[in-house]
Amino acid sequence: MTRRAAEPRTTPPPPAPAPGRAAVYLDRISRHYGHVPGISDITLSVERGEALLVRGPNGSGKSTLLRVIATALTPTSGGGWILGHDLGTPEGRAAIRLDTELIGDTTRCYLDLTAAENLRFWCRMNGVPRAGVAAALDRVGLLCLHSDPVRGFSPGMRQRLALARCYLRRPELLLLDEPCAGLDPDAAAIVESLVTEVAAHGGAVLATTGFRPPTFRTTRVLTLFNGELTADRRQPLYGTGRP
Amino acid sequence: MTLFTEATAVAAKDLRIEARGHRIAGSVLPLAGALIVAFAVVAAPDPARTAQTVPALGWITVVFATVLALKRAHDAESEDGALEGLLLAPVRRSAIYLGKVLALAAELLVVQAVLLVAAAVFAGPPSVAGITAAILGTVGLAAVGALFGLMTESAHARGATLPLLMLPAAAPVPVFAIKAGEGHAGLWLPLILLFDAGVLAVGALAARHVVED
Repeated sequence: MTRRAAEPRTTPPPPAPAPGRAAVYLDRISRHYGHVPGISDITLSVERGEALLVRGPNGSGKSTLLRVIATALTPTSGGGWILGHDLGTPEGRAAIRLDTELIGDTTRCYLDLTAAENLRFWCRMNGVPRAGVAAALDRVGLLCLHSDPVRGFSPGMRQRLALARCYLRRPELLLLDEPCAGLDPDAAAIVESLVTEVAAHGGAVLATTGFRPPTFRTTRVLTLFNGELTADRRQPLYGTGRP
Repeated sequence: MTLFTEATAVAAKDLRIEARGHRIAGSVLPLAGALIVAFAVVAAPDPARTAQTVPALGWITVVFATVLALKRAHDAESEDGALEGLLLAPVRRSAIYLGKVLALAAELLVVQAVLLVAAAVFAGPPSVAGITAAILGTVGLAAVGALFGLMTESAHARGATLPLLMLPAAAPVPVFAIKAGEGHAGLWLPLILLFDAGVLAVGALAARHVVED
């Protein structure tokens, strides 16, 4: 696969806000895998209430960006503030994890445990009351399978279980990596309602996609190419065929 | 949540997964029983040789069980990226490590209990020092195994890397335990205790650095 030349940045980098106000503030963040840059020199500010779409071809750094924000990866250089906490300190990273949820290509379930057991364990790990497990499973359409081992679930069902985890945690910052891949229309609607809820409650959402339009409303579009942020447009996007 | 609460939650999860799969009980215990019976029969005319051989066989079995249990834990955490979910939760890294030590120690103590009963049948009842050494040594093996298990899991290393790293570090445990059971408890039991405390402390302190990517 040949890569096209990177498009020149069309917008200037955002001014540095007061760290406590922005949901996400990254200052020249880079993350390398050995000598290969995952993301390079990204400066980004995301306000609370925003729902961002991060677009780019395969290998452009979308997943790396989300994983750095989620503290799954440590930045190689640069720094930032996530929900008012310093991304560069262990204490800050621990505090970020309290209110951030990442849904990626893996759903991070224990396959030998049942759906309900997985959720109860995650409730315990995240300090969330377990009383809401049944309601969360019902909301994603898995209540009837609550006592079934996750090993027998299809990828779409496991993704629904991950969405149930989001409903339980009610994160302030929701990071979705290709959230609708492999989901049926009903499950995609669950993603849409989750995004709407988080943004409406003053949280922020960052979701990645290739170049397919999202199935949920977003207010801003970032474009990554070869690990660099090449475009940042305030451009409402809606699901296909919707006004 | 306190460190203890977090660690016990992680341990309970690991033990529940083991209870579902019965991997230790289904594979290690029959092997252990067969090994001990075979060697006891071979050495039957010489009770002294039996008494010397059975503890060593027992520890070989426990070490094998440790590698098997860690392999099982590796599979459970690596399938569907479950370990990353644990690392993305607001849980102390030391609690993850200590929870895995607790779970692994519990599984290995079950194996030890069966082995001690088998040893008692063929080589006579073990001494109090021998039982104490077995318990302490098992905790030491669990502490070493959990640390290297987290290390290889986080580094996405192949499963074969774990025994290569772990076994040299765990080698003192069976030596100390067997010596303690042979009547030199006053010297060797404190050494096992020191080893356990040292590994647990290093593991708890280093856990954060081991798992951070």
